[in-house]
Amino acid sequence: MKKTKSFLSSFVINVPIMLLSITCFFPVVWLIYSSVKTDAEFTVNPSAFPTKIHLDNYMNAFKRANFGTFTFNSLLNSMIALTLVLIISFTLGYLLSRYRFKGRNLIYGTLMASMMIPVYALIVPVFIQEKNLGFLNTRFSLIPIYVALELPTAVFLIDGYLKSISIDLEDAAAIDGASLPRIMFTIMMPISKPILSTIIILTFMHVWNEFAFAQVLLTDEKIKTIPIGLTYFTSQYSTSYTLLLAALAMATIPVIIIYLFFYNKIMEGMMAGAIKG
Amino acid sequence: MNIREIQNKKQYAWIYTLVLIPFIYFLFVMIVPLGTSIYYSLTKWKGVGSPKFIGLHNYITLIKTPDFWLVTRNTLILCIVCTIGQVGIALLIAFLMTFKKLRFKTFHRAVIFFPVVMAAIVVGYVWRFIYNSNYGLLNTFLMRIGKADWIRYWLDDKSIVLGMVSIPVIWQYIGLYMIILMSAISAIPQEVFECAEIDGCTGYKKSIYITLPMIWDTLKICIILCASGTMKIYDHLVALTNGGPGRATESLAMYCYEYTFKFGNFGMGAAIAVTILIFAFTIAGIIQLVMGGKKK
Amino acid sequence: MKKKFLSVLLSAAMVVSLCACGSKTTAETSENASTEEEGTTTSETAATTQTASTGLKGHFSIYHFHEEDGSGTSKAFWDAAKKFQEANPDVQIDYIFADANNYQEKLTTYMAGDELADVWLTKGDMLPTFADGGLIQSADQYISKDTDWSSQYVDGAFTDSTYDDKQWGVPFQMQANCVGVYNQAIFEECGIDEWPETWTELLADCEKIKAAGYTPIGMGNKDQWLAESAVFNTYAYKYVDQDWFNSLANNQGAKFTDEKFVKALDGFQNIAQYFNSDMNSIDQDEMYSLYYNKKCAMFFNGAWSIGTMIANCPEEILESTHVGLMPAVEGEAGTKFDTAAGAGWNYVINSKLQGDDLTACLAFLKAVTTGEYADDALSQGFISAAKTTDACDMSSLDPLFSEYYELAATMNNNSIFDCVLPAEVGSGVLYADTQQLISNSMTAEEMAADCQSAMEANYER
Repeated sequence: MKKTKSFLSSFVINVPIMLLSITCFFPVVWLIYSSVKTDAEFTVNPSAFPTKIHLDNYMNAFKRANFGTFTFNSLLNSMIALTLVLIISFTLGYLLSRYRFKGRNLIYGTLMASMMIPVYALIVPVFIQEKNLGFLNTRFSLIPIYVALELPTAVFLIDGYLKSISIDLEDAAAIDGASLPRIMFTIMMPISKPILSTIIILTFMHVWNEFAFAQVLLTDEKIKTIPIGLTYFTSQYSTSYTLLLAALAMATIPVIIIYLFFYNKIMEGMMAGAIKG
Repeated sequence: MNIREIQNKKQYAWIYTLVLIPFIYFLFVMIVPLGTSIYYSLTKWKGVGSPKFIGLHNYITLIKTPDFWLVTRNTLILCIVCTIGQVGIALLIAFLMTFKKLRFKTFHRAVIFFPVVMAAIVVGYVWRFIYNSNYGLLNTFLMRIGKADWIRYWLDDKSIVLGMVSIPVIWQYIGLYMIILMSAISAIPQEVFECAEIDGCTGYKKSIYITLPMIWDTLKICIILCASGTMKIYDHLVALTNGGPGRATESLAMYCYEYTFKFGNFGMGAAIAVTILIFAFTIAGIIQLVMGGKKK
Repeated sequence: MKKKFLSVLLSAAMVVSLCACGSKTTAETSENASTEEEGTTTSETAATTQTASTGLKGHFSIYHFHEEDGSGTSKAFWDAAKKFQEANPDVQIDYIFADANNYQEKLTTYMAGDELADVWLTKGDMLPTFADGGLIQSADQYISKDTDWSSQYVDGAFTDSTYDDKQWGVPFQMQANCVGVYNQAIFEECGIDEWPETWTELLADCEKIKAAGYTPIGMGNKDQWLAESAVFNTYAYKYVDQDWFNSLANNQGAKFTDEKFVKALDGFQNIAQYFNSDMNSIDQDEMYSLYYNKKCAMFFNGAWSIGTMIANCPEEILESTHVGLMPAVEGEAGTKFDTAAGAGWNYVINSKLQGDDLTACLAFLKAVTTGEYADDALSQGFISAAKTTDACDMSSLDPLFSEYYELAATMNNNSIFDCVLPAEVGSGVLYADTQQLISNSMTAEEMAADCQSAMEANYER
């Protein structure tokens, strides 16, 4: 009796999640096998398997979308933006979470509000602002915007995370005479690893995929980024779908690597909670 | 509440320096352009010459346009449905991840995040296969199980299309909120669980009485993130239906894009953007109010 | 104290950015690092110092959507552009590319930011904004001076770029927005001998095809333009004519609610029963896919679909594929030759461009729109706005394309609605409402009234 009940509950827990996981896996499979078809094959039946594998789609896509240069630019943008977001958001998140000072609520509210600004409202003003500063179309044109776009989310995640962490450790360190920056960066930052890993994944993903600003602010082929390269398969009246899919597959790889690497960091903390479950 | 006292002047100085430098930078990069945009919303501007100030005229025109209300309704429905769907399912899965009975945890964790990194165009393609009325998986499946009368033109039927497009959106972002919630769960001290178990608190009870209160703040942030994200929804709808049939699945963000870039009517575009901001801010405020009150 | 400092800083920053965006003087005097600005700032000095002993000299930028490794018009553009650059090494050209789907967004942003390139592509619906704002100069004043250049264009090439009695643009293509593509084998199978001449015949044929289990007419209107721009637009010209349209566009009496137009809408709603039922959720390519898989017997789409057919259509289907004109409606004025067709997009020239840079730019535009470009475009499956040269080998053309080429010569070109009408109407209301019209969730009268009110709102501005 007890056994059937436990079997049932395990069934109820496992099967739906398994189904969900399978549906999540399907697009990846589709993307990969579709990317090695010919355009003619693809348009005749977009869901069928390829009759012959055309790996040269990847070569062509790589060349056509300037993948070499654009990957470098995207990586550079992502890395710089990521570093800045981590440092700034942790500082702001920590201070806003732990201390109450004059103006705190104003800053908190402003950050919250800016999370909700639709990007299309910002494109023209940002373009004009950068133009007036002579900052258009440079290698670093995008970074300040990316940092600002990603900052609010990161700050809130850190704020929420720290709220559930007790202040005993910091108080003890303060009694030992540790300064504020020291407490922040050498004691609290390591504790926040799981949430920082999450932020790394999110920020990297957003910056890597960001299109709207990159499209408008950059015109020089030497500094454009990957998402712009993905538009290089569209002519006035036709799109090379299979090349586009091959390029999409290649463009997704770095994000998956970052995810798999950093989610393990999250899991290290998670495992401790799960073992005793 | 885990709040620390500010002990001395030196600390004050530290805090203000560390907060204000990034914040001023932030004001300059985000809030100044936003201010410019708000100013545009009060002007008539076709992109040539100087904007002409016309007060609230754009907003009045907007309020009088039936399409605007249709689009607003679409966006709000999507916002509510997707927030409940995404964060709800993500929370459930995050809980299940703490259960011994769940098998293949590592596999699930890795795979459920995959859709998050997929480009909207791929998600659009894949789901349009599923919904396609000729060779779509959904209709094929309904045929096989003998429920042919359930077959619909999923993306052509005005009455169901909004629900149909919300499913891919929910599905795609479960993984995102799942990892945020799991990172919060991982911060819960081990002793808390141990004590709870000694008191006989296991299974779903543990989730509801121990885990949930401990991650309440993060959950709140997830909901706000999700709601404000869905208020700006654009890519998915373009990939799935392009707003059709008619404007049945058009969102405010698409409407804003249309006015700003297709029609070159920057004043109207900015006014729509400001209304998105107002809606999103109101929703966030409501969430704060509702969820803040339940806190211990 | 801090708060005050903050607010002062914030407001100062606001003022700076607000003032700067409205005034043109800052843009002209400020040293700008971006390359496309250089062309305009150096032009005056260049005009006086440079001598044109070794051919053309100059520097200009061009904003375009011709993808470098693309096909069709893009390939023809790049072939001509590269040849031009080889012949004129002293001309420096900055190419600024955005793909066709995202082109408009970047263009409007450039316009708002006063950062437009020296030459760019535009549709007729943006012309009034550019022309009234003094942002472009008429191309006709230069083309008409050079008879070797002006004589090369076909009749009606400049219709789409005419505004305020001036021809502003340089056309590079002449596209029929609607041509019927059909599978002869399916037609024969259903007992239809030939492509219908009249609308009644078409309806009867559709009935036969439907009875045989095929979808008569394929329709992929997910992206909203196909039904309106590539099918309905031409159908409407069976009822109304060019004069009616001109009158409508210029607020000279014609209305969307005119009886003729409402009848056209009604007739179009009627033909929609022969479309595939998922017409509003599949896109152009999925529509082709229906055709490739012998699910539908015919479709109507722009002439660009012929190139796609040649490239992607399975061999056996392609063999029995032919093209035809949209039949005329009995009792109405329009003939089967009346088609929505035209240049659509045109190159326009920045009004700031002058001197040697302008001369170089004009030579470039001539090279990428006429002469060998026309032959090249034709071999790519596109008819350009210029006449082909004598060297052009017509026999090497694909049979299907030759068939279309002969049809195209008989067509009576009329303005394309969404290329000329203001975008709010042409690609706003018209698109969205046509989608509802064909899915029967809107009546012809409702749609006509809706379009008319949008049009009237636009007259006012």
